[in-house]
Amino acid sequence: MTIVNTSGDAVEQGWRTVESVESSGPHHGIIVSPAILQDSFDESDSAALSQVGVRLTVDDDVSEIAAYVPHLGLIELVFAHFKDGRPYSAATTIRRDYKFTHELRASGDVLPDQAIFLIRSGFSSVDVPDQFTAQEFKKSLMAYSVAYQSAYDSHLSLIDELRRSTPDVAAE
Amino acid sequence: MPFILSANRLRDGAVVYFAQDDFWSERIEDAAAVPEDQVLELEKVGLDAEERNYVVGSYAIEVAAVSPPYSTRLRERIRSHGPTVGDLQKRAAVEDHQSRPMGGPEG
Amino acid sequence: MYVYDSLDKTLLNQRVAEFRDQVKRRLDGDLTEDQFKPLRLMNGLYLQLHAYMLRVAIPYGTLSSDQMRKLAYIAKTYDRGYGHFTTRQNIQFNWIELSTAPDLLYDLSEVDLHAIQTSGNCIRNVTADPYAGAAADELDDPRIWSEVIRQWSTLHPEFSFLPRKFKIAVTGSKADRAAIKFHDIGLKIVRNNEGVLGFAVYVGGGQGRTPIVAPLIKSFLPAQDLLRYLDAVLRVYNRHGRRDNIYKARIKILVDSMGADSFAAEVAAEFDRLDPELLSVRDEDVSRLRDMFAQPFLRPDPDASSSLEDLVKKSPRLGLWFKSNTHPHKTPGYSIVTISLKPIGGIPGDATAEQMFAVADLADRFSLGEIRVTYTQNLILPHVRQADLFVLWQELERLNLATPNVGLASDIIACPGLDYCSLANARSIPISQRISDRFADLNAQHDVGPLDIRISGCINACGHHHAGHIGILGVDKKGEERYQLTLGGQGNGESEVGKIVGPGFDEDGIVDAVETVVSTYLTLRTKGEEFSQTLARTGQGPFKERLYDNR
Repeated sequence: MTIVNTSGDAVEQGWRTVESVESSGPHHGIIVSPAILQDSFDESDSAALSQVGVRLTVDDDVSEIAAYVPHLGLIELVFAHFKDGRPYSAATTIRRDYKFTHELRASGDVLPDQAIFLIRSGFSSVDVPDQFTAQEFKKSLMAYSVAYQSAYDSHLSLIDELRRSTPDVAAE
Repeated sequence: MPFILSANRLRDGAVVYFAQDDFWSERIEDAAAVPEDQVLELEKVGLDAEERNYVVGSYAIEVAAVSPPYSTRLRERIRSHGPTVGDLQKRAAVEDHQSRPMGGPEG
Repeated sequence: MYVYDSLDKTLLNQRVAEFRDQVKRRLDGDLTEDQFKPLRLMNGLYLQLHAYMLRVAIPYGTLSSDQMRKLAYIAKTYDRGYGHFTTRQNIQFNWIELSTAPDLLYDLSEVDLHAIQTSGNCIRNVTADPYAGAAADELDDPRIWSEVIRQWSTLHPEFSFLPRKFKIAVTGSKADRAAIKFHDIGLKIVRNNEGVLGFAVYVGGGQGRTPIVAPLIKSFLPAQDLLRYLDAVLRVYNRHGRRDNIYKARIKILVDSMGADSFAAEVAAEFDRLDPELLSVRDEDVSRLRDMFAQPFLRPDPDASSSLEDLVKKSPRLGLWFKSNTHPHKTPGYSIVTISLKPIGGIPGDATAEQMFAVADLADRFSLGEIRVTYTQNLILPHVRQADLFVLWQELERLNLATPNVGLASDIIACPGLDYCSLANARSIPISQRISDRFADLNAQHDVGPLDIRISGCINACGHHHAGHIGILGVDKKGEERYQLTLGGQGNGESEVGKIVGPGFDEDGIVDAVETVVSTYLTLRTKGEEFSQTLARTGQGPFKERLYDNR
């Protein structure tokens, strides 16, 4: 599995997905389901939560873990199908309404051709599907140097010129 | 009733019919017809050609006659013979635009 | 007209390059058909019955003469010498090859044309009143706001993979010539009591399997909040629109199931969460666009109409043409001229490369180089001096583009139908041709008066049959083409969904049925009463009797 950052460069994975959590910590760099998150962690324990990520499917509602969100170290949004664009709006909402500033990762069924949409919607990393390479994602990210929208862009360095007013820089 | 195999060619979208081996023809007259019990093999030929990125959307068509192949479905006759209204430029030369240049068992 | 700047051009060039790469990867097998299909559709490229079809965007129906020449060149070079103007102010080319489509798009980009988002589950090319900037009853030019929407929606990072396609239409006039209430979002430019410019926003209209006239969601939206509000509507839709059933995925189903009020409340809540700074339409952007679309100076010529009357007396055919194919311009002494792409027995909306070249030249000579495209599949020269009308008419006659039938029985809207379209169940074009032939007598058509006949070859309703006075829907019944007849739709000015009259007809039967409907109207009408008025007065009863009594 390859993770690319907002420049399309492959980076250290750093996180692992777990299906259960031992009662005794410490828990460094684990990604869990919303149910495990709520069962195993205290929403006010920001120190512990900074080492925890949550994995949301298109049917999960981020508002159900609202209290945890600002403290989490990572949020992963899983694309059920590349044509199902709900995670783009989820990403926008997570950046805007929850002021989430840590890693927001796209995984599941995504195409290299969607890289720029992902990054400009607020994702800061992509789990590259096995069928594709990091290089293909990078190439796609470099395809555009201009944009019309002031999207919630965590990656302005690629955009030379923007028609509309200065966007919020959400991440990193 | 027998079946033939058709698809659109990936490169240009042209309607093509499986003839033999690796050969797909733009002419329905060249289509290979097989009996109903060989339809699965015929469809597999189509899937293989899709896999090789030569055609898209392959499917078997039931035909009521084989030489030349004739489908009872209007859609298939339009695919093999072109729009019933002709090309606009051709149409200008044709007086009777209600004539339908579609082959059938009657000719 | 809007003029591309360096940002527009850069983005367009990059889009062309990206698509060239996508086509190469598909041909090389690096992308599967399932992966490639949504990408090519977002670039307007369909695979139809006989070949690929490319739908080129004509932004809010406005073309320059140079752009029209390029379309003619494309028709000659990449197609079989003709193009088809569509029911959404676009043009389609029917005989395109995938391998050369990137070259075609490159050629188009030289005149700032493209096929971006003319298909796919994204925000489609915005449509607008074809009389924009020329109509006397206009509050503000809808092209300004359509262009704002075009930019905002182009390659939108969040809204490019929606549950289903999304269509927005804008009108700035009292008379709705853009059928805005049959769109996912319809925007009507209004002023509030304080004189502030804004929009009445209708959401959730559409045709297709479930025809719905859009309800009013917001009666006044200040113009500067336009994008913020659209953003909120689209986010609510992207989040909650159904994705389990393609026939229930349009926003009209969401609005209908939530109820217009709770939908509006959810949009309002989302709107409040959005940063006004980020999405506010800036005054300087608007005034820049306003300058670009400002009507070029036309010297009023109030005496023109009287000399025109003399000419009309000399040629009855010119008189018919003047009556049906011209419309008053806001400047005295000028007319808005409709070029009919509906010759008797012809294919609605088709134009040859030669005709397109010639129209471009006529636009240069007589209409400041401007051309419009209507969703009724005709062309418009928006700024013609009435003193030039006679010469223009003669030129159009020579090109077979002056059929005096705009708004009449043979001005039929028809989708490509089963002759071209892979979704169709039945043919549309031959039916429209036969109806047109049946009503070939143009004097008789003028006597019948305004009549809006629309034909779709399947339930997707590209031929807008629900909104025709007389609507025809082609269906497949056990391998046979059958045609359902609906009466009472309205798509021009008013918005109304027609109702099915009774059992369907075969190909011959539907042509007879249309004639029966018209002759029934002629026996029923009171003096000066138009078809739709008579139908509204009598209901379908007397029409049904005549249609089905002898069966």
